[in-house]
Amino acid sequence: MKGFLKILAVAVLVLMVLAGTLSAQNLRIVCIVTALTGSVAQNGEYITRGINMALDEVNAKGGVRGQKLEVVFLDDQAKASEAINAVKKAIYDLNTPVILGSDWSGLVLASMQIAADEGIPQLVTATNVQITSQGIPTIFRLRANDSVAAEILAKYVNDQGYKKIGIMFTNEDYGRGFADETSNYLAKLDNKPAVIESCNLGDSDFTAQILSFKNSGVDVILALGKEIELAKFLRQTRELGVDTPVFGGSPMGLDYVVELAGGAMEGVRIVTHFLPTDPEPRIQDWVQRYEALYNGQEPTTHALAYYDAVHLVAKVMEECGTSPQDIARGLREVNYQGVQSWFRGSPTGDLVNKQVIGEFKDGKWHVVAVLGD
Amino acid sequence: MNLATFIQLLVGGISIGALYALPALGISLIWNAAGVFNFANGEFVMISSYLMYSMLVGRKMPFLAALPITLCIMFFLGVATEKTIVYTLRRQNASPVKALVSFIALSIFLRNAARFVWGTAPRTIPNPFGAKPIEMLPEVFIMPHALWILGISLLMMAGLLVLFRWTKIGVAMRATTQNRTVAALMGVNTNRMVSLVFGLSSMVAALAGALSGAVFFITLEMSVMFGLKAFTSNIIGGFGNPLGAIVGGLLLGVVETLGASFVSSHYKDVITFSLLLFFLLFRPKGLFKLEIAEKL
Repeated sequence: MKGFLKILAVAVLVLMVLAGTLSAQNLRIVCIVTALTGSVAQNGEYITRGINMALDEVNAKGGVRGQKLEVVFLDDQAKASEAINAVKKAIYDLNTPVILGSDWSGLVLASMQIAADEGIPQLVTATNVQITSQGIPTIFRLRANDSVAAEILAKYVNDQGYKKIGIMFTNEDYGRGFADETSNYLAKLDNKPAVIESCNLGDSDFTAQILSFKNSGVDVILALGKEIELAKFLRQTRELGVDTPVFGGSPMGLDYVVELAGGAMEGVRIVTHFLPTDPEPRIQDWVQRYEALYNGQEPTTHALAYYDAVHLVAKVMEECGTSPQDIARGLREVNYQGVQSWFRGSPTGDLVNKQVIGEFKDGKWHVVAVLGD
Repeated sequence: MNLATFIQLLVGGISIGALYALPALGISLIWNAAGVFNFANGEFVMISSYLMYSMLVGRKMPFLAALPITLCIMFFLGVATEKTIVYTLRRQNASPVKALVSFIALSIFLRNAARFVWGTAPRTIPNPFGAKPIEMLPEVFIMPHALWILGISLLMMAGLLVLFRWTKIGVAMRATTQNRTVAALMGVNTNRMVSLVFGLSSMVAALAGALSGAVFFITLEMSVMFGLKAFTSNIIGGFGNPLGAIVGGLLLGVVETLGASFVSSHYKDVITFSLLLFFLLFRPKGLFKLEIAEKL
């Protein structure tokens, strides 16, 4: 019996060592997901789907430099403290050469300096302007920033002839940044917003804000910020009989926001990064493959942005090398057509300038215009 | 600000306040009966919202059938909480810190269990009270759910009042709350009474969950918001005083809504929690002192 136990122990040890070397052969990078748990866990699910789809494709073609590409998911729970912990873990414990970062501006702003100090390149999808305006050479962004979106939105609303504009934003980095940028562009167009209201994450009742818009007689409301609160705001606006046109940002385009808002989404127009109904053949081909893979579920901007991110990183690592310096250099010079858009290296790290204007009609988002490429 | 807007805001504020008052009342009942602070009260609210969702959307049941079933399930969940956690703590003669930590653990457990069962996507229920506002006075639009929430909450509160004042079992519960030893000597089954209070408290919190789930969205995070607001209501009203919890909750809802409108929506939570700070600093016993404390 003792002999058997010894053999068993040795076998287990050998297996463990083998498993270690096997996984060491994989090329491992980290994605910090906002979030796998918590209020926006649905977004986290979209992100992991996009990444897993791209990973399968990359590895089916032989991986990167003969190694299998592997992504380790870390959950930041949509909390700044957890985002900082996750970045530290990615760098010091997992020795990742590159971080696929959060799509929440506040979390990126809180944690980006740690990776920047260590020279680890970060690819984020969060859109607050400040992320790329601080002169950090290792931060890269995979979606157009809020300044681009705000300029398009301000110009579009102004061109439509609206003269008394109300802005509603969620009081966090994304919403506030987007609202500030839009206000600035509107002021430049000599069409300063008449009323600006806000809410906190987690709020349920928006009567005060809605009545403020109603009483001041605004002719359009720009709802800028996070998903759940704005869905509630929109629904309550229509319930209270206020039928002022509403414009918004990319979060409003998500399927679950549409579901939460119910019929209230009808007629809403948004400036966003991607709509699954975009007629561009490249996008339609991807949408079909995604839906085939995930039981007909419609893809979202999160899934596509992180899908492109994996392909982009794989390409850069293949061509330039797998060290953090190589990846950062490669991303600074990149010129790659993903599914969502072109990714082009720029001095600030903003790789994308494309935006789509969409309108919700007859239960579906329709592309009104595509700006940039 | 015209009168119509003011009335509209006031009604909205009171109905939101009623939703804060119910879990606050639940906390207050448990505090009196068992001397523990139910940290998981917000989770009871959230779970009942999800139960309503499962019945209304999953099983296509009518609202009026789903509501009593949810309340019953939550009553038994409350009793089960007492029979397992609180009874064990009492038998061990556990310190208040241990009790508090146990309830924090329960709240984390319930939130994650809900995530396991219902997933992470926010849910919505078609508004059972109708989505068309009623024009009560010229230019005053009130959502029907605001009135329903108020009505059902008041009915529940009145029911509890009758139970505690005029029924034998209610008197026994109050006796247990005030002095467990004497109540036991008078022949009251105090263990059973504490269980019943837990069930009732859970049921009251569940009513808030069922009503708010029908009107707002259901998310795992709503438990945190409800827990915090219920706690604040208790501090404002006077900890342990059921009437205080109700008044505190209503006041909180009204101040929040009117503050967001009169001052600025940017400072909504600043106003709310300034109120909490004010009471903690200058009137730590809240608006209403506990009757029992006065008798001592």
